Formats: sequence, C-alpha cells, structure tokens
Amino acid sequence: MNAPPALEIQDLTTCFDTHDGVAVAVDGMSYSVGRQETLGIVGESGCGKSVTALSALRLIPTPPGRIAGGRVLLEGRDLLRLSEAEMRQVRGNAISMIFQDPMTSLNPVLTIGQQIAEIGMLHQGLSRKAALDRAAEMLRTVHIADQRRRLEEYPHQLSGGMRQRVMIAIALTCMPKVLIADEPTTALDVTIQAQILDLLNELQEKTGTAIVMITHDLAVVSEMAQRVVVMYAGQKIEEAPVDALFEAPLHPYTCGLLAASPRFAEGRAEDGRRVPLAEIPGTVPRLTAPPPGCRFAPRCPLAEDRCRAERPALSEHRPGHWAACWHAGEMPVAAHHA
Amino acid sequence: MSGAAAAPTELAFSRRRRRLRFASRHLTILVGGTLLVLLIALALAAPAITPYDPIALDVTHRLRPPNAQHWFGTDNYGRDILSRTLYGGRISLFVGIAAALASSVTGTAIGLAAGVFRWADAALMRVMDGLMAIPSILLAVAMMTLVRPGVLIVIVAITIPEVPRVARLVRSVVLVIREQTYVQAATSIGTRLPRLLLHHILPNTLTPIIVQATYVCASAVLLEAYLGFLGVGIPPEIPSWGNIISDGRTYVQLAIWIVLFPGAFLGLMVVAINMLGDGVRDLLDQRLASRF
Repeated sequence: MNAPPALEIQDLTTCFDTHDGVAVAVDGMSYSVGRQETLGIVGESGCGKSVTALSALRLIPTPPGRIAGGRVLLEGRDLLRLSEAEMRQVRGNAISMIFQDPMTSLNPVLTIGQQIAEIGMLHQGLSRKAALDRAAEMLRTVHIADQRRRLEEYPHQLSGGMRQRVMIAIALTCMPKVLIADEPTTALDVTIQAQILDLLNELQEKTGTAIVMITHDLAVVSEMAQRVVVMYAGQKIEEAPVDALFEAPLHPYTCGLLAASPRFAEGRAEDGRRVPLAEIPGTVPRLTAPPPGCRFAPRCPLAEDRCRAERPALSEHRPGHWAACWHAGEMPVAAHHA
Repeated sequence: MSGAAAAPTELAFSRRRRRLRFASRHLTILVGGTLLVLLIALALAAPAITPYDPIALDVTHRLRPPNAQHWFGTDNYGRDILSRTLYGGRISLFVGIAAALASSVTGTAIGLAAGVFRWADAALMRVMDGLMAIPSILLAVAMMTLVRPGVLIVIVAITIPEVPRVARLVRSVVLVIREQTYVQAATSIGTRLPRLLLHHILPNTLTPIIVQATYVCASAVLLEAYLGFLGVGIPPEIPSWGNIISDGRTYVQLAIWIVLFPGAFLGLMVVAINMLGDGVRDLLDQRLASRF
C-alpha cells in the first residue's frame, strides 16, 4: 500500500465575507505533495495561492474569512477536524511556513535567539538553555557563522538574506513534514535569492521535508519544483510536471504567463529584432462576482461563447498533465518561443 | 609605529565625541533627567535635610520673608516654607508616579484586550469614551464628598480619566502590530494567545506607553495641586504643593514667598518630567530623532 502524501488538499474552498458580498478566494482547490517533493504554486497576485496555504494551517482570520469546505490531509489526518489545541501542536511542528518579507516576519523587539528558541520550547519541551543550544545548531545548519553572537542580536542588525535564513532556521527546527514557503525570495536581491533556494534544496535533501513553493516567479519554480500547479482566480487551471509545463503548456493563461516572463520568452525574433514581452490584457475578475463560465474567458484570446457560459472541468490531457480549458493546447506555443 | 601610537588617542577622542554627540542630540533628556533626579533626591531626603518640622507652628516668626534661618520664609503660622516645600514634593511625586503607573497598567490591559478581542472592542471603547467625558476635577469633588479625603482618593480621581487615553493609545498600536507578519509568523509556529500577547505584542507597545506615562505623571502632579488649591485634594494638614499654595493665597499680597516657592518647584517638576518624556520619545523613536 502506498503511504499517503505528506500534504494533500482536497476540494478546499475558502470564502471571505465582504461588504460587496461573499468573495470565494479559493474555490475547490486540490493538490498534494509527497515526501522529499517540491510542488510549485504559481499565479498572479490575489489568485489565492497564499490563502490556500494559510487555510491549510487554519490561519485565516475568522471573521471575515472561513473555510467553507474540503479537506486538508496531513499524512492522512484531516487538519480541518482538529481542535484548536491540537492544531497548535501541528503548526510549526509538522507544518511550518516561511513568509515573503523577512524584514517584517521577525519581531523587532526580540533577539534572534529568543525567536528561534521559542519553537523548541513550544514543541520539543526544551528548557530555555537547551532551546538556545538548538537555536545555535539551527543557525549553523542555515550557514550563519558566529552563531552565539547572532543569537544575541536583534533583527535590524541582520541583512535581508540573513533574516530569511533565520526564518528558515525557525521553520525547520522541528523537522516539519511540510514546509510552506510563501514567496520566500521575492523580497531579496537576485544573488541572495539563489543562495536561499540552494539552501532550501540542500535542507530538503537532508530532512526529506515536502516543500510547497508559492511564487509568481516562474524561474524559481523551474529551479525548485518537480511539479507545478497554476492557479487563476481561486481555481487550479493547470497541473503538470515542471518540464512538461514549460515545454508544452496547455492552458492559455499559462502560455500567457510564460510569454510575460523575461527568462522564458526568449527575446529575439528571426530577423534579430527584440520581441517585446507579451502582457496578458485585463485584470483578475472580481471574486465576489466571477464570470459564470471559464474565469479566464474575459482575458483569453481563444475565448468563444462556450467558454463564457460553461466552466471547463479539469481533465488529464497527457499523463500527469491536467488542464481546465475547452481549448487546451490550442494556444500557439511558438508565440513564446519565437 | 606611528599608527599604533595614534590609535589609543584616536579611540579616546572618538569616544569623547560620541558622548558629546549623544549629549547634544539628547539635550532634553539630559536637562530634564538631571532636574528630575535633583527634585526626587530633594524630596526623598526631605526628613534628613529640612531644618524644621514642616507642620511645627512658630507663632513668633509669622510671615517672615526669606532669610538666613528660613531660606524660603515662613507662613502665617510661622511654618518653614522650605521644609514644607520639600515635604510637599514627596506627596506630589508619589501622586504623580502612582497615577502614571496605575493608569498605564489599567489602560494597557484594557487597550490590549480591545485591540486583540474584537468582540470586546466596541463595548470597552464606549465605556472608555464615557469615562473620558468626566472631568477629573468634577470626579475628585464628587468622590471627596462621598468618602473620606485622602491621598489614595486623589490618585484614583486623577487615574480614572487618564485610563481611557492610555487604553485608546495602546489599542491603536495593537491594531497595527497584530497585523504584522511577525505576529502571524508567531501564530504559525503554534504560539498560544497569552504568550503572543505578552511576549510578542506588548513589548512593541512599550515605547508609546512609556512616553504617555511621563505626560500622565506631569499632569497628575499639576492636577494634585489644582485639587489641593480648590480644597478637594489631599487633606489640608498634609503639606502638598497644592495645599501650601492654597494656604498662602490669602496672604499673597503680604507674603508672596508662600506661593512663589512651591509654585516654582511645581513648575520645575512639570517641565522636568515633560522634557524627560520628550527626550525618551526621541531616543526610542530613532526614525524621528535622526531627522533632526
């Protein structure tokens, strides 16, 4: 029998009650990530990537948010059925999260040592002293030198990259089964980005943690992930092994994303002229009143009446490659590999 | 070599320059702090350094102007104004510090609760608005007629109207802090609510609380004097600054020194506390300080 995946999200729906009505931020989202695997979640800002992750940890502020349905299985155990006290045992212990901006995710008035030690004291029942020893060990793991001095320092004495290393140290202290990294490199400059990604890869090999890598940077996904989920307006619209996604994207939105990113839209036409980056016209639909059919239809170059009326279901077009589109694979791939 | 020889002097030089820079940048804190420490020292040492008993009558030396025996002169009962002023400082300081502490602690607790528990917010804040509408002098007069006047009642009367100010301040800071990523990050590792409140949120609110507390302290010192002057404060037999000034107002044309000296001390004390508060605010809020 196969072991259950480290984290499996099934048909998760999260709503926010707003003055304009109910906004369905995550609509029937499903994905799973196995041990030692990295799953990339990509999509524009506001498409529900982070809300899905926060829902999995039950960190959605309620009200206005609420999880309206679905299951979040951590090695087969449904987290949505746990009591708040049981859930606290999961957070930071079995699932950890790294946030986007390392400048604001550390408390400015507490020392680095206090902040790393806290998790050891919470989940491993360590004494203050033992937790600080463990903290120093974790700093060594994330390649921060001079650990004892760093433990005494405050966040403002550290650079952005260092702070993200500290966040990773906190997240990995308890050897979690799943690490959710919410845009972990977006706020860092490029050389530091590469270091942080290398570090995450290295630590994953050591600990076997499953990583959910949330990002809007396709380059990060191509480097880190084995599989990719593309989200649009709260729904999964495509899922594929990373190579398949970059070589033969099926959904017009994915094609648009690739054409819009500098690294993948190879920049020159045959006569040597620069090809400008393609943008996807329009904006993400309002989540309080999404279009009745395919949510991407209003911005899609291939859209026809059927797309506007009927929502396409997710279907497997090639082994392991799923897409929700009436015209999957019809978008000319040449456009973004010209 | 020459570099090695120069190094220690350079080091000493830069250290001295750093100190000078600190002093010039934080002049308010230095002046206010020194003045306050001096006033506190005088008040604390009053029993040891005052030449006379502050309530001993000496009818043969009534209404004497300042002289070698009585530096600040005497009042209409021949009591030594210097002794009374220094003893009065003890009461003023006690009232000021007690009111600042009491209103800070209560206000912080209420502000934290209102900021974190959204369901309690509306109710708590409306009660606070209600309290804010009561003038402290009116409250003090009402309380004095209900219960036996005493130092404690004065402190309570001064504290109650200050609590909502602190509560509002703390609430507004908490509303900002609770949305910060580091609070979410703390929650995401399974931190419990009490620890989140006391360990992660409260320390971030301390700067404005400390600054506010100094202002409360200054206004409490002043208010105690008002109440004494109006005859609804500390019982008249206790020499507080308000009481001394109140006693002396009848003789102000004959013996201005009775009101002059405690008045001057009162002014100095309020200025010193306010300067310290301003200085502390600049020191703790580096962004604001670096602009000047």
